[in-house]
Amino acid sequence: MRNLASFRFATLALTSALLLATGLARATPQTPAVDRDTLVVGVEKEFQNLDGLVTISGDSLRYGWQIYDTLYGFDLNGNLVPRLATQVKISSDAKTYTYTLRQGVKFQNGAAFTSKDVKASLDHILDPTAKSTRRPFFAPIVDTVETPDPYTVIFKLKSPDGAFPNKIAGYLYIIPADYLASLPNADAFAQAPISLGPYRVKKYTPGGNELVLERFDGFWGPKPKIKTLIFKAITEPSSRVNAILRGEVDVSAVLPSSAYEQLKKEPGLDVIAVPVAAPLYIRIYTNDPASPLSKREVRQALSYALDTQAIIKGVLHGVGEPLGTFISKYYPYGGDPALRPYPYDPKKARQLLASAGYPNGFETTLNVQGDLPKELSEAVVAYWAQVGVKVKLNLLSYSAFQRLNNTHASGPLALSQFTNALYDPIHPVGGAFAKGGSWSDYENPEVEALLTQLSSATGAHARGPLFQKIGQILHDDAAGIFLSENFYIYAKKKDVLWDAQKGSGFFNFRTVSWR
Amino acid sequence: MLMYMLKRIASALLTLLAMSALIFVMVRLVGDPAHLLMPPEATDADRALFRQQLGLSDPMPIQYARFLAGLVKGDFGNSFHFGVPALSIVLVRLGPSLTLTLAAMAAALLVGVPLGIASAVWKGRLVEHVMKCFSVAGQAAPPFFFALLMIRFFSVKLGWLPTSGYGGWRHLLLPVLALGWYSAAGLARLTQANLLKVLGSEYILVARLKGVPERHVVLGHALKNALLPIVTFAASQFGILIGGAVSIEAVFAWPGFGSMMVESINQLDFTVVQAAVIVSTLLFILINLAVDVLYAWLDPRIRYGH
Repeated sequence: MRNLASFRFATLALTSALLLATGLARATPQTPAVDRDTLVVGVEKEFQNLDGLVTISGDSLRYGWQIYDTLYGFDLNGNLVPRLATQVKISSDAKTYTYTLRQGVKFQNGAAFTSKDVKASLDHILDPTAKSTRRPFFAPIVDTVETPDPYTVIFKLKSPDGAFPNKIAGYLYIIPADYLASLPNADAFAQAPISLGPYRVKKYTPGGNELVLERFDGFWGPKPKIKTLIFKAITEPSSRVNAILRGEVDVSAVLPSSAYEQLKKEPGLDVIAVPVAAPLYIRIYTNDPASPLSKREVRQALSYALDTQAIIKGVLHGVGEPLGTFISKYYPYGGDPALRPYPYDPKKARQLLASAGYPNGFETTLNVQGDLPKELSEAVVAYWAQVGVKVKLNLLSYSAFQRLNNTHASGPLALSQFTNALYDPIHPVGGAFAKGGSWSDYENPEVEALLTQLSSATGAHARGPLFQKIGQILHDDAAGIFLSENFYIYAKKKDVLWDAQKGSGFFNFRTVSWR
Repeated sequence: MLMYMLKRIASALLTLLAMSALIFVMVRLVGDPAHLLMPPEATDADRALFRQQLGLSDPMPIQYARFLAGLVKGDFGNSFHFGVPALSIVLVRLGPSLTLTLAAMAAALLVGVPLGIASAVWKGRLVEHVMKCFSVAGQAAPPFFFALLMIRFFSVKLGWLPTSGYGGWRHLLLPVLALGWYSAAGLARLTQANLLKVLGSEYILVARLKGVPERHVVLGHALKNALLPIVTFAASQFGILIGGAVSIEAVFAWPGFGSMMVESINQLDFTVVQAAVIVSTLLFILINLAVDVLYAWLDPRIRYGH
């Protein structure tokens, strides 16, 4: 009895503490966390490897564009813009790419930038001992790299690749040849990386949770307005929210959607939802003729059976947007904003199931990529149950899911998300909806024909309409179940002048400043 | 005694060997880094080459032999992700974890044991109610729950302490409070229960009859005998907190050992997982040794070496 009394007292004390905590209001500090020369950014992941040519995008996308530079880069919306190169000439067969380099550019160690550095950078990727995760993007397609003079680089490809300029911009960070050659081994570069970006590494401990960058005053382009850029890894989402509420960070990245409304009420903060062009979708293994999912009507029925508006409102706290196809409209080209999503129509869904021969539905399994909100898959399962489709939910850890996914074993249904690093829809489309694609279990001759055209089509004007056609086919064929556009939520102090990068997960702090 | 020490060392080495084999096999069952790290565009040949570079393509016994050979030289291999020796990653994280654990244990002992003694001596009085309340609250809710509440209140609302991070004592206060409360709660109850049991025994009665002052009876005679289980509990808590304070480390962005271990398992960074497990096994062995020494001091009947 006494224990019960103590317990009651404890709960009472806790509740009053909670009430007290929520009752006291304190304005978010709006002054800089450190000073007006410094920006502190709270990020969701710790830093693992600073060699942007070796590590995965999921690691390098936080520091990559700050430390490194590329021949061409992406503007805030993902359009290609010249950086270390001033122009590119593309042969009509899309097999030879000739880049003219910017002159008088210096590396962070003072070395002059020339064509041999470009070649060395690619060689670093191709060097098996470097264990680069970028290798598969270049090894199969690049035939030779020629450097006829210090300011010309010619890439000759084994087969046409219309997306090659995007790969150069997304993956080929330029590093100094002589410096690389002076290192004892390929791993050593990550400990003291040197490139041509606007910031250089000031302090980093492998295994630590902070990365400090400082402005590189010799940067060839517009110099950053701040002197020091500090990334603090705060892996717990609610702690990133607390850190910005308390003003300990100036920008807090990738916040939980559950905090969106609360943060918007804070007077000193701007809350931004940035589209990352990474549709939340369910991929379908359509190639098994015995599976109900091989029938278009069934897939359309599953699309009609979902109230994506309600799911977005209820599960994603309103931070989402229904989408009509796999190609996000936030790509610089190839998306089609006019393409309407499947409306919620359970009656039609039942009709389609009946006419496909499944009046009582069927049973299937949904595998889920572990870092996605669990509630999302639960909502989908609940809606499908309404039309008689019983789904066994299989929640997997991120790495377990990847293993299944990359070996075509995540079927028959796989809920996932893929952030692009290229700003060209070929990256996800080629992987998910092409014959022989890395995760694809979908095959459509019309899509294949368009992909063949795309391999030699260069530039946004040529590629955009072709991808729009693919988007329409994937929609009509209900090739996947398209749930929502994906957004990253950032909160920043009002005095921080910063536009977030759209259409990918990359961080861009090149032009940040204080008001 | 020498014989005993030799036996202890031999058994420690055996434990280490067994753990190293166990973790070596287990970590390889979790997944394949070539799938996690290589992009989906990678071909099977790309993945095979990648595995070969990481030394994962050899038969497992050969891999293990190579690992043991390195181990003898203190070389745990390079981290797959960081490209630096795996041990250095582990050691970077061990410091902050030890700081946090030592501070939390010290706080727990300083609060929990006296509270337990007081509530045994003044059983049924106010102090016992306070103790019960304190320990129910401490053990009923998981530490990270208190942590989040305290951050909201002390950091976000009042602005007294930082919300997270690793630095000076102000960063240490809340995580120590959150972790220490949990351990102190257990310590207080255990101390009370044990002390009450000892206080009821005959030799205490004799001591009291002899006219030994009550203060001496409790602190001198009873407490020393009641301490054995408390030492065991405190030692096991210490070991658990070093590697197991994962949620607290995450909530406070504390660069500790536990969160590193979880992260390296998720990232399939085999060498780091192996180094972490071996280092923490070693720590446990040392803690157990310290406990045994303490036992012998606390209870002269315990003699090793026979």
